[in-house]
Amino acid sequence: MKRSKSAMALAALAAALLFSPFHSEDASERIPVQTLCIRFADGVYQVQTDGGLRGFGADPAAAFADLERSAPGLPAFSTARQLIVADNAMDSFSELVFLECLHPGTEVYRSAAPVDAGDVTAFLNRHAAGVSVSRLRSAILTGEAIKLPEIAGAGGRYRICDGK
Amino acid sequence: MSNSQITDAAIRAAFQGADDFQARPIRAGGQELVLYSIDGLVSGGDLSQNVLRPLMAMEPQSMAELYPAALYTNIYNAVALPCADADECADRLVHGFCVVLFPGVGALAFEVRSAVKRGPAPPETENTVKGPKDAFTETLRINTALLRRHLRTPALRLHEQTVGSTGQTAVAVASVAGVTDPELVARVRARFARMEADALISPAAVEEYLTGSRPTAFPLAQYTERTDKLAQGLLEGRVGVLVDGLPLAYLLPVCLGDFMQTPEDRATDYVSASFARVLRYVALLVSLFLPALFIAMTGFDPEMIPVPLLLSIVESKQTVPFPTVLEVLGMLTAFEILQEAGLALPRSIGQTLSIIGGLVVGTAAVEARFVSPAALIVVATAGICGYALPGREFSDALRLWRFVLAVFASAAGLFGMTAAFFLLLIRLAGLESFGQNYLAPFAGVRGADALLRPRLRRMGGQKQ
Repeated sequence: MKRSKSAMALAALAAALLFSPFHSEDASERIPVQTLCIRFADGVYQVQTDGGLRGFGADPAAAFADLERSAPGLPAFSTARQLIVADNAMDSFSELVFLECLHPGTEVYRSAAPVDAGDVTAFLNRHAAGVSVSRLRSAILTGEAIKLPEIAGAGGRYRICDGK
Repeated sequence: MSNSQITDAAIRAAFQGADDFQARPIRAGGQELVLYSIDGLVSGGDLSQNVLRPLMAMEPQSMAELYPAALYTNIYNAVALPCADADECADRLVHGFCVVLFPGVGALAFEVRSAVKRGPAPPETENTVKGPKDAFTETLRINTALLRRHLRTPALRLHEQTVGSTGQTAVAVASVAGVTDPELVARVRARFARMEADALISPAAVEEYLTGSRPTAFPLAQYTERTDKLAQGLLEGRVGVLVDGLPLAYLLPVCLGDFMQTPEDRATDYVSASFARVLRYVALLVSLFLPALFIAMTGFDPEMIPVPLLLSIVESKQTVPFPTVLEVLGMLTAFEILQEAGLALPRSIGQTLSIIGGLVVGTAAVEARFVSPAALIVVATAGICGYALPGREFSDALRLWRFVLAVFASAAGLFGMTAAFFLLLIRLAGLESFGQNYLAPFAGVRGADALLRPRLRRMGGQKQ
């Protein structure tokens, strides 16, 4: 009886491991991301990371997928603390906010002009004022209007304006 | 009480082949007697002065008169016991007595134990700065005397019995009348009485027979080298067990909180002691969870790690050929092997090996890119925190569960680690030591007393 219980427990454990929904990637393969910038230019969406990785696509999801394919590792989009959406990419804002690769705690900003992701990371790490992805998701679902803070500046000198 | 059935042949037959067995015919009181002893167990000086000299100086008389005169009058040895049969004579001889045979009448045993034994020395593992420095020795009588020096009360009870069909190991069950639950004392004594063992030579044998040899790595009896710790435990209502041949004592029942306390707690003020105790619990959690947390967070939930730290970890793992799981499990295994090697070697070589293994090999492994510095730091931190726990046996059990948590974390991240933790909790909650639950201190409002050391004037023994 004891042996059969042990065998059943081992079988259950093996099944749990085989069909486990959890999937891991080794840390050495990951490329941490702090800031994501997305804009629309030349008919395509372009997403850029603070590490200089770029992806292009017909829509935000395709751009992210392209970035993941072309990166020399596995970009960890969930580690991104901030997402900056250029004004010319706001048409697909709803689709962008609901991308599964984004962490719900990522803070979203907008910018009138394209911003370099690597350049603005240090500024935003010290002056976080964005609206979280989770907040935006719930606002979109409920039809609530939210102002996104706007980032202006370049060359290491930035400021955050009240959004629109 | 005399026994004419005891013969020289019967006593000699019990020690046939034992070259340290000595039998000397003597003439005392005009009669032919035989003196038996085991060389090395008896003190020749005491035997000569206290037994032989007065015996040989006795006036000539009949054997029937000589026997009671030796027992009650002429021999001024402190302990004189008549023997019921040849088996008892043999038993007395192996316990450091000398036996004088009065042929046709009986035999008398006189205690003349050799003084050659290890005296009390400072404890090896349970050191304190301010506390007493007398640790138990291998001799039961010295240990009981040390205990009585700490508890100078007639209420201290020492129930002695012999265990083991071959080894005849003497054990003493200590308790304080009016404080210890008599049922608990009776249970422990009954456990020894039912014991079917050849002898109790190793601590593991004592613990397994005493606690029932349950399939758990967690200790169900607490051992201590310190006499003050045993005395304190007895005053708290626990039962103490002393075993002849082992330089330690056991306290029962035991719970998790007992393994997180040190004698130093009572040597310092309660604020400092409480802080140290909280620190130990933090060390326990770090020791248990850090490797699994590292695996889970780097493999499954990297967003939980601050990005600069994650960048540092990722950078340190570049060119390391092994995945994080293998790194951590491999380092944990190497850590365990290093510990075992240090235990097996002589002290001087063991220390050198620890330094070589820890510093040189570890550093070389990092420089050779076999392991990443992050994994090395995580495992080393967990190992050092494990050493901060006072109960060595408890930390040994935790070392096993560290592996279990790491494996579960490698399979299912934080979910797996949490599942393994619940398994551990269930396991601990199901353990009991002589009726006391292992997690008893954390049940209800008394949990704070387990975490913090209460002020002494608010503490007291468990009076019956």
